[in-house]
Amino acid sequence: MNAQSFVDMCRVLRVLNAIRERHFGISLTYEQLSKLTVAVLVDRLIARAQWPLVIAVCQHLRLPPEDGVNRVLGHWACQKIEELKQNRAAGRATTDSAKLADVICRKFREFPGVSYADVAQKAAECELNELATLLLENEPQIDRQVRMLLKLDQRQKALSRATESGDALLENEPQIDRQVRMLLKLDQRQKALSRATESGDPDLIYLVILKLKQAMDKAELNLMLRKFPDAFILYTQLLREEAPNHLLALYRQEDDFCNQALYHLDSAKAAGTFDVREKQNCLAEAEKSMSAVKEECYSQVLNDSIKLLKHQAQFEEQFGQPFTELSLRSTIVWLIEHGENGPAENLRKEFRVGDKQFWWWKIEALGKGGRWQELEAFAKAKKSPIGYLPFVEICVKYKQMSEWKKYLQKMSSHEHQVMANIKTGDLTNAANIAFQNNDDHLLNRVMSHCGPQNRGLSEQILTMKQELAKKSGK
Amino acid sequence: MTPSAGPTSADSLSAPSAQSSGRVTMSHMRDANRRMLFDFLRTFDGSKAIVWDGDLTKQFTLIAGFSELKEHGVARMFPLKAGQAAPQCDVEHVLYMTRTSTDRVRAIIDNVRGVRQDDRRRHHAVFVPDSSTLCRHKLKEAGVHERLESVKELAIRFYSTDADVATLLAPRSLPTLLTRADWSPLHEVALALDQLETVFGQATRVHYMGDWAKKTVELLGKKREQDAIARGHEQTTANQIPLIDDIIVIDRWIDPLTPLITQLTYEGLIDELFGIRYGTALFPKDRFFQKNQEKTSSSAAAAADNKTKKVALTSSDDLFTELRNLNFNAVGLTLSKHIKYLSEQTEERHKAITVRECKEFVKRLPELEVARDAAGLHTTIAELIKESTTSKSFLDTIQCEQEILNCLETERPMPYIEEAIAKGEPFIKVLRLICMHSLVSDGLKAKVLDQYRRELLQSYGHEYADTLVQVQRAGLIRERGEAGSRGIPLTYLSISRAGQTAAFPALNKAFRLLVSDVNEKSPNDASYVYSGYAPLTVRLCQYWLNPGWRSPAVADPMKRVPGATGVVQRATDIGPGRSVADGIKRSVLVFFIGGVTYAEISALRFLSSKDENYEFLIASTHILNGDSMLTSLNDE
Repeated sequence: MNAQSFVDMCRVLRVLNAIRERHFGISLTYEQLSKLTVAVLVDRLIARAQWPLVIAVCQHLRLPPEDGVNRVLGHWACQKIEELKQNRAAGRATTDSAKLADVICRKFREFPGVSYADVAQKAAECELNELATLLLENEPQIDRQVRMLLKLDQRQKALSRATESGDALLENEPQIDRQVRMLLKLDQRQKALSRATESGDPDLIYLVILKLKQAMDKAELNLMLRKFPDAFILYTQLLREEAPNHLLALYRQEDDFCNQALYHLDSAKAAGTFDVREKQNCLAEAEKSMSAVKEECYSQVLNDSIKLLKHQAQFEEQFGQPFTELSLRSTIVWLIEHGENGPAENLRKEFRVGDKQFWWWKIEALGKGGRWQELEAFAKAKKSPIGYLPFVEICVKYKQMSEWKKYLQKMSSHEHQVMANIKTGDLTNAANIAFQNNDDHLLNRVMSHCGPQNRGLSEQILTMKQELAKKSGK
Repeated sequence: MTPSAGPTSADSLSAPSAQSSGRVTMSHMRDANRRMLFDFLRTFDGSKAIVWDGDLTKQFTLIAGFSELKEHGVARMFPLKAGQAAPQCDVEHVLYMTRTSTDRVRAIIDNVRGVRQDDRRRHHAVFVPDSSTLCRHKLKEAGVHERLESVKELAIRFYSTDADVATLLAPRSLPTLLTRADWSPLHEVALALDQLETVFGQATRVHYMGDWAKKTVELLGKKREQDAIARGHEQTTANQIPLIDDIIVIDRWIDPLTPLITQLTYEGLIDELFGIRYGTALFPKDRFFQKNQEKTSSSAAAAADNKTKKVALTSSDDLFTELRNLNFNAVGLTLSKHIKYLSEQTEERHKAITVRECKEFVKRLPELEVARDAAGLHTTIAELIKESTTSKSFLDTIQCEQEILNCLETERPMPYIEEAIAKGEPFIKVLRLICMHSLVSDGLKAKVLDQYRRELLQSYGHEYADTLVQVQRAGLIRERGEAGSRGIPLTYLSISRAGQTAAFPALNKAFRLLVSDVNEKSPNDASYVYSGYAPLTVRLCQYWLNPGWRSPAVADPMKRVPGATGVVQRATDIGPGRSVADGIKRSVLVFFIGGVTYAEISALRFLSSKDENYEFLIASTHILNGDSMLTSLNDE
């Protein structure tokens, strides 16, 4: 059988007996209590200021702390504060705030989870800000504390307090979010911010930032945020979405050239091809930021891009083709593909295109344009800095069976010869060349291209590999 | 007998099946998520409609099916789109659900603004996993706050795609950390770990490696402290026997090199070539054997994506469980063994003489059919992969990677990279190689770096400059030596402290990252997943198992790892966790902040299979590969 209901009943009877004592004089029957509910009973005891009894009742009946002990203590502290206020108003001798804060805090320490912040708010309502602040320092939940401080608007004071005794405060107020919320309520902004950053909880920091944004002007806010790098970063995330212009101003103020450059590059992209002048302006701004951060490589390339845009505008008129979205490579490839070698050569010189790069581009362009004779002439004119494999590749790509043979003999390295033969589909020849040159690695490569239809060849290659292994073994 | 119990499973790398008793799996997390979701739905009396964004819908298929949502009163579902008014349907509650992200709030605002005056339904905004201050603020600012009955949060954080893997599906975490220096993702990870510990019990120890990991563990500590205070010092998880004894938190950025290298496991290659999302991948449909019934069902939806076939890649597919962790070079062999076994089994019908034997055979037919379909499916996928892996461009890339890793050229540009730039091969592919080159060479010589950047921008256009800047900020490309400290500042501090971080050759020597005699078919070392390269992260996990990070035997290599390291010992009322005595391995959760690759996951599974005492569970912010990592860095 479950003994729980028996235990519960005993507890209730014990309470009913206790309040019947002469000293308290509340005689209730069990039925009456059931009708009245325990909560109401607790309220009545609070109203009579029977503090020890009501706390005992709460604990004995195992009421959850937020409905029971913590609430009672809250009322107790509020009553104390009220007394202090009335005594002061009447000019009577009374304890000072510090002593009262001490009494309250000492009592509260016995009961973790009780909200210092709520009591501090009461103090604030009674215009006892000093007391409120003292209490608040004991509020363990930082977010409560911060919120309340912000409410109290004790910015300067809170700031110094927070920086002086940051950790000591933390020990007293365990629940950060309570602390911050309370600080905000108290309008102790900087302290709220400081607490929130300590907590490492981005959500709490955003809460403070949003509050501060409403209450302060931009310059003041920027100044305050600069002292808290973590909060500053979150602030920039917020601005990124809401006010990009303001963000740029902030980057300027902070001498953050890298982010300035990124901002301008982004604007250049957004400008699109519709407004070339605008695009150039953005690129010029980006270029400036890049040279400020000593990234000469980028600033050079960006400078080139601005110049290229000018040329491209001209080409657009000349050829009736959109150019401004093309890279230097695509521009040169288009020109050569369409037989415009002169302008292509000029671009190459102006933008100091590397020799190898240019050869690759030109081969691609000639292939694209089907200019096979020109390609042959190009191969003969000078020694290729990139070998002759690319020539074979481009011929294979455009299925020019008769063309690729012209370049096969030009190859000096066996590696390229093997590759070329793989490209043209002559796997047997590829395998033979690799074998003749004792290149096991290349044999593997040929092997990887063998499908089910080359079963004979793959067996041959295996024998070749074995022979090579024997040779190198000896 | 299931097919996986056949002869092919002899050299299988897969962990013991999830059903084996006592094994800790991510299904606990999934169950917890389901409870959370259903309890949440129950708080709304009566019928409900959910209006949610596409990504979230897909994510939730990992938690519950539509039929289950229906059982909990969800009558209708609509996609959440910006610019649309609240959908019309006869329900009591309309839930607008989206992930916690301010750019999705816009869509909710539009919907709620479109609620008609005479609308009697109650409307709620629901954010997964947190209803952040910013989201609430946006709703309030737009003035729709009053029209909403409530703004709620549904704290589902982990999504489990497999028995041993769960991620936060948060690919933005890495760029947020690296390009914005915004540490919020670390706080999200801390919250997720906290949730994990409420489900699995409080781990006895939390180990961390790297600066992000350190900060995350600190945040986790603060969170637990705060919760204890809020609860009035009563502890709820500390006196529950932990299912996970140890948690290891590792930064992706102590090892940014690994994701850049092409993964060579079956699953890794599928991800590299086709991309895996939410445990499924899309393949060209025409390559697959079509079943008759599939052909006839020509609804409008099927016609829409006629060209692709969606394949679920999870541990529920026995054959895939076996194949996924293999080096691709071993896949063909395993597949053919498997098919041989299947045909032998099918041949048994000829041996069935008695009625009883026939009955036995018929009973097994459906099972054989499933196995046959799986074999057909994976043979086709393997064929598709093979087409790519034998292409010149792929082979050249792999060769170039090998040359870079072996430090063949640290003073000049790699010829293949120059060629790839000039040919205009995919930008991200080229960038991957350049980043590798820079990381392995401990920064590039100024001349080389400039040549790469210049040629890249000439070839692809200045539109790519911002990506380069972000990649540079992340420390993936930089100038060698002291000069690296000028120019664009880095965001991940431990990488910028030049001299303190070990250059690749030193790390390689200390941890034996490059292994020359790797056996791809029956591996004896985790390096098989990259055909001869073991990721630093994997070696760290290996050393954690044996001999332990603080053992003097590995003191020297451990010193070379960039970033902070340490362990937090938790106070518990209970002694050590579950005993190892009854043959149950202890579970260790490894959390990768900033992403993990499929190949790394396979390597950790390999370590689990070889270890007698421990088994890894793997968690991460997301799963990535080199392409997705670099793309995300400049993906606003």
